[in-house]
Amino acid sequence: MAGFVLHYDDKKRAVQLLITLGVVVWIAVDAATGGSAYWTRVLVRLPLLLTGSATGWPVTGGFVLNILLSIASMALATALGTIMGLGTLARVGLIRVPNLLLVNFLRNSPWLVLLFATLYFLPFEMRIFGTIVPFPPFVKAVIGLALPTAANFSEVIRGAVQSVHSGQWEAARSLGYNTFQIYRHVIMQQAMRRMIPGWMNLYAPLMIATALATVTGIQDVLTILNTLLAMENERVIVYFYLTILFLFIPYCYPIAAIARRLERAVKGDSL
Amino acid sequence: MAGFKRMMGASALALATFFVAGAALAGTLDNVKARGKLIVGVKNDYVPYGYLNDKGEVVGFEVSLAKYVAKELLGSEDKIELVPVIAANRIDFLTAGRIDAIFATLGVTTERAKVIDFTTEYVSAAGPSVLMAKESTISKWEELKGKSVCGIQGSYYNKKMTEEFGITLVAFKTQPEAYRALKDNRCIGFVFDDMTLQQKLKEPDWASYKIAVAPYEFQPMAGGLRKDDAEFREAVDKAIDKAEAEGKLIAWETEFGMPHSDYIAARAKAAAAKKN
Amino acid sequence: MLGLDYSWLADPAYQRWLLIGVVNTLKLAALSSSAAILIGMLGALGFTLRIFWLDALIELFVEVFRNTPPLLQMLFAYFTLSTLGLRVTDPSTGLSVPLLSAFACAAISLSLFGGALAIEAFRSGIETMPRSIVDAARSLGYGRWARFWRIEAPIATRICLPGLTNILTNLFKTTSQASVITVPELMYYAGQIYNDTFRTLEVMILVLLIYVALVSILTLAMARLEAFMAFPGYGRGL
Repeated sequence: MAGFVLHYDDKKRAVQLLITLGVVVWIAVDAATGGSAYWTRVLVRLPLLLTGSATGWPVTGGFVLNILLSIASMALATALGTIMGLGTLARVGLIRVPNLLLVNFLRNSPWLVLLFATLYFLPFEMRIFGTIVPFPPFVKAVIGLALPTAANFSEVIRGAVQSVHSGQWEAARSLGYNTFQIYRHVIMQQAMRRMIPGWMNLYAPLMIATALATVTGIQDVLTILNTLLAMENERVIVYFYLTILFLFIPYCYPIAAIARRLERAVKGDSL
Repeated sequence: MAGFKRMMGASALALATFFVAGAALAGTLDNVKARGKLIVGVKNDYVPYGYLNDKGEVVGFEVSLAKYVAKELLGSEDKIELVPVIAANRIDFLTAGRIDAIFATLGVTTERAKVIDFTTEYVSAAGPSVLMAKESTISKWEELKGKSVCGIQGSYYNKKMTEEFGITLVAFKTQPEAYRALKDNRCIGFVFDDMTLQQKLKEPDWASYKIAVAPYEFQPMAGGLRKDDAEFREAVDKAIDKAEAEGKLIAWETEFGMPHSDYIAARAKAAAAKKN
Repeated sequence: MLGLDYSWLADPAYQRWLLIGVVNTLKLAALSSSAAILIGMLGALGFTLRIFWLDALIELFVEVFRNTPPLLQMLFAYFTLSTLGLRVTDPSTGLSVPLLSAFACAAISLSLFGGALAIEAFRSGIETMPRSIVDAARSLGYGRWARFWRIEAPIATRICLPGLTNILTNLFKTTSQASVITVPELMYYAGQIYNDTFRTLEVMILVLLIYVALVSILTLAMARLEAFMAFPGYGRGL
């Protein structure tokens, strides 16, 4: 039986490889039979699409900016989400209820609308002790994307913490630990293992959502694509769109796949 | 239903905590001088008022004017930061404090005057017209009733188009998208500022198109400033008056290939007379 | 209390715009949700058939559509499919026009995006089905179809419901992106209204409240459905 299953997966993978190869061959054939002019345009513009400058350096935008944006948002979301997540677990109602409300509100709002909201409602510069701290659109995009992700992460934390058996709390408390110590030494140690796949699962959707940041006017890959719309003919545009669609897949897919594998590995755990 | 009500109440509360709107910054002139830099919102896609030249620099009629104002306020026309804005965000950028002034094809309207102050008016620009294929027989706004016409989201005349002329407006975020959609026949025309469309017609790609429907109005254009900052407004107005009196605006018309308008000539004359 | 000015809401044009916007949002969400569920069921069913090439195709479909931005998918559908030949001749004008309207492009993209997510959710639902139940059904003499309809499908549905709720709310929220390709839904009109009135804060608050309310209704309805369908041991019926 095991032999057959392996065989089946092998066959499946072979088909997928074949299709991928087919796409590559199609591109090659297309490039050889008249499409070459279009692919040349894509190649010429590729540094611009990737880094925002025609020579490829310095990085001022493009797909690399999307990646930077996703990493910065993820970092902020992790910090905010931890606070919110522990807040929703607080035993004091005054802390728990507002946190739950905020999490629910953020989870139920469309990303695009939240992004617009941060764009319009955060000031562009703030005076802190006499110095003017600017809030460029990039920072606003980071905040706008981090908010819903943080809310989702807080749910991951809540789920992970609650999955730790309540007996552990009682045992720790009877040993004289306070709440902070219990989290630090008992709960988080175990919940962390459950949290990591959930945390990673949030990344691919966040990366995908960075495409929305085009509304803040930052030079992300879609903004640049849009300016190219004016400069290239309609046939070339098709190639540009395909190229960008397929920029996202090789970046997002491996991360998502690892997250899923980890998730499966953790599933059997009894905490 | 109690759950639902609770959630709505929750949302309102969460909103209140979420939107801590930026406080308005008072005393723009002091701010600008302390910073040593004037931050101006300009267009970078709008020939001839503000656009990117071959070297990738933002230039144009209003960019020159903004630089002139910077020179008058701070002593050098390089003490300026040009922030590209679009119609949909320029007023928010101003009120939120991102920029000190708008010089970005801002038409003077009473709605806008409720939220911002205008500088002296310096150009009289044609309102919207409609770009259509040459073979089109439509020539009046009324004839567009029920037709799909491309436009740009956030244009001030969009409501007039749909409510008064009964046009089915297909509004895009950006101009390139609208031009593409027009070529794709997703709409029969593109309603936009006449000046831009006139410039577009000069491109070889657009030889088979024409301005089918002429503008229904002319509108003065002015710079935009935050409300109730008289000190800053007077300083900017003084700079604009000086530029007019020196004949700078006429020189810029020539420089950026604009037809010479009677409006600017008359203003230059008046400003020069007032000065003497 | 915050000095909010909602006087613009008195304008009948804005009232109508908001109404049309909400209706279009609901239409788009309903259409793409139904299609996504259908695609999800077909895809998950395809997996259970264990045909290796079908399996491979479905998996590729899922990965492509869930690892690319829906916004980009919509723009692609809107701006390039007509170039690739999806055009018809408009009988009234004789012009060659794109076959798919903005609404159709948005609905198709959202259906495929949601469908990809749904396939994955349904598949994991079927996978977590305890083997012992299937074996028990078999030993009781259930045939392949009877087993599927009477045992596997009812249990899998209950296991999948929470995941499905997530997908449907996600899809509902994603409809707001259709404004970028000119679908006149809520966000599209909201933008026009605050550009006209400069009441950005007020319009945004209202729009967020409408979205949160609609999504909350959806979540509550799904929770009701879960509770209604619950039976001991599966989903929330513990």
